[in-house]
Amino acid sequence: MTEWSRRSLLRVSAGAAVAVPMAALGSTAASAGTTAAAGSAGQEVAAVAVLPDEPVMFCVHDAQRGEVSILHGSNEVIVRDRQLVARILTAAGSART
Amino acid sequence: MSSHREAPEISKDPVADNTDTYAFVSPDRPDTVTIISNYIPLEDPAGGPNFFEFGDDVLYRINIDNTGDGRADIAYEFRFTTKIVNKNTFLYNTGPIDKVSSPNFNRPQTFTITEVRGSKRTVLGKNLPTPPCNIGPRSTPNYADLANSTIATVGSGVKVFAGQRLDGFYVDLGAVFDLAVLRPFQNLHLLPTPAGPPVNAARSFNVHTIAIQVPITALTRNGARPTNVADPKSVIGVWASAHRQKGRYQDSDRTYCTGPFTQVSRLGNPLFNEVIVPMSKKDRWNKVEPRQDSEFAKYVAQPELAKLLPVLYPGVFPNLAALTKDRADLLAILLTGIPAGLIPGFQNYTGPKQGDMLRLNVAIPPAAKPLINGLIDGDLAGFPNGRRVFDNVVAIELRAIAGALYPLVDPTFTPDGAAGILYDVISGEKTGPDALKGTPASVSYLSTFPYLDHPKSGYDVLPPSVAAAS
Repeated sequence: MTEWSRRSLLRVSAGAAVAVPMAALGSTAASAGTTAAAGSAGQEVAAVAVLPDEPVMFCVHDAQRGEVSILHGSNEVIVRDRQLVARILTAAGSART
Repeated sequence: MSSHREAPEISKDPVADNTDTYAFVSPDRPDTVTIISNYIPLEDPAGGPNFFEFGDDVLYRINIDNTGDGRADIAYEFRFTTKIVNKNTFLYNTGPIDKVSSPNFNRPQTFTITEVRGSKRTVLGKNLPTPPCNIGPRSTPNYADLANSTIATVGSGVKVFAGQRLDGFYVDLGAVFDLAVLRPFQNLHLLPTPAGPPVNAARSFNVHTIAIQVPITALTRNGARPTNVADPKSVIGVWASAHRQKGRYQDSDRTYCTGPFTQVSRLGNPLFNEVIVPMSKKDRWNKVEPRQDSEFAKYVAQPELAKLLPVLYPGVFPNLAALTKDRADLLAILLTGIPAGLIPGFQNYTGPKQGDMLRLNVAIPPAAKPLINGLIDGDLAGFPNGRRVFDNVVAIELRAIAGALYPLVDPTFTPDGAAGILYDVISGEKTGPDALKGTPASVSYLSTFPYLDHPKSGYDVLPPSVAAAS
């Protein structure tokens, strides 16, 4: 399976319907003092040459390993990014301290 | 049942639930093989106004392994698309449907068939019609003509049909799952009951069928039509599978699916997952491919039902009770095929790689006078050499599990008398064509493609409880 970068995940998922909306994720993450805020994510979306024409979903099925499964079209890619998973869990209201 | 509702997860997903798979050399076109896979168990013909249909979100596959590794060398994929013609009515049809293109057919479903050979994908046909369900004499008059009009020929002589059919499988379901009651012996059961006639629990229920008829030369390893039964290249493995996309999102106004397809149902030999695989492993079995079936071999080698029969029928199966060795007979029948040398003039061995597939020796011609008990009665063209629509698979497998075929691998073993006469459904058996002798009166078949009979209509069929009382 292809490894995607965290940046490409943000680009793709911010531009389409996702299980956890990235706009909410961005603002939550910003308030939590982590990286990208909603504004910068929006700028990154604008920079994506081809936006997906189908929904993109992702699933954190192994938070301990920092893995996110991204489903798009008929493909699945796995991203390993502990910071990203932490932000998603924070946004989902289920982060562990 | 053969594989109707056979595992906890798939029993909640009927449109993806593979109920039966068949593979046989076509009796009327012996240069071809017919493969049939059925879905949607126990369709009540009167089940409207949203009558049964294939799942637009399901990928249906028919798989052929011609190299014995438990992987599909050839696959035929089917995807369905449903439309609503008149969005302002609740009706399935707004008048008689005299042809599939009728505007009265409010929910037409079409399909695409794609052939997959390795990495090569070839779309054989697009927008192929499916017939409506058989509703009744006002809505679907001349149903046979209507359904037959949807049989298509695509690619290089591939005949295809997808639509509703009468379930051709027969079983005394109410008895067999009532602690394995076998009606001929119910008075000998540990919990005996008075004698009573057996019942075909699948009678008058419909299913949804995907059927293809493919030239033998398109399925064999070397592209030839074998004539030598002993030739390893004469055997093909066949199974069907259903797949769903990994992701499903549902909110108030939309549902969509995304991601790669993952297998949710499969079926090769009838009853494998149903009565061989333990409850806790059934969902796992549906998710893996035949090449991974060695993990289930221990359940074939020591089948639970073979241990239950002597307990439930005290004194009836003493030789079976004493048989503690691994069941090499069942391992061959279900997981590798039967090697040459055990049955004169027969083999359907695909090699040592274990995998649950129907194994069909295409060099064996169709029987002039088929016997529904297949190989057990000496009909080499019948189950477990592939599977024909009328084969008495429940009785054949019951007898096999009871040890009727164990002498093939151990001539010193003597099967119990009961093992040779076990049967399931014979009530009201047919006396008509020889091909159907022994099948229950409630089933019928066609002599030509797609061989499974036209479905019962909702208007004409009485509910089972009423039918039993009348």
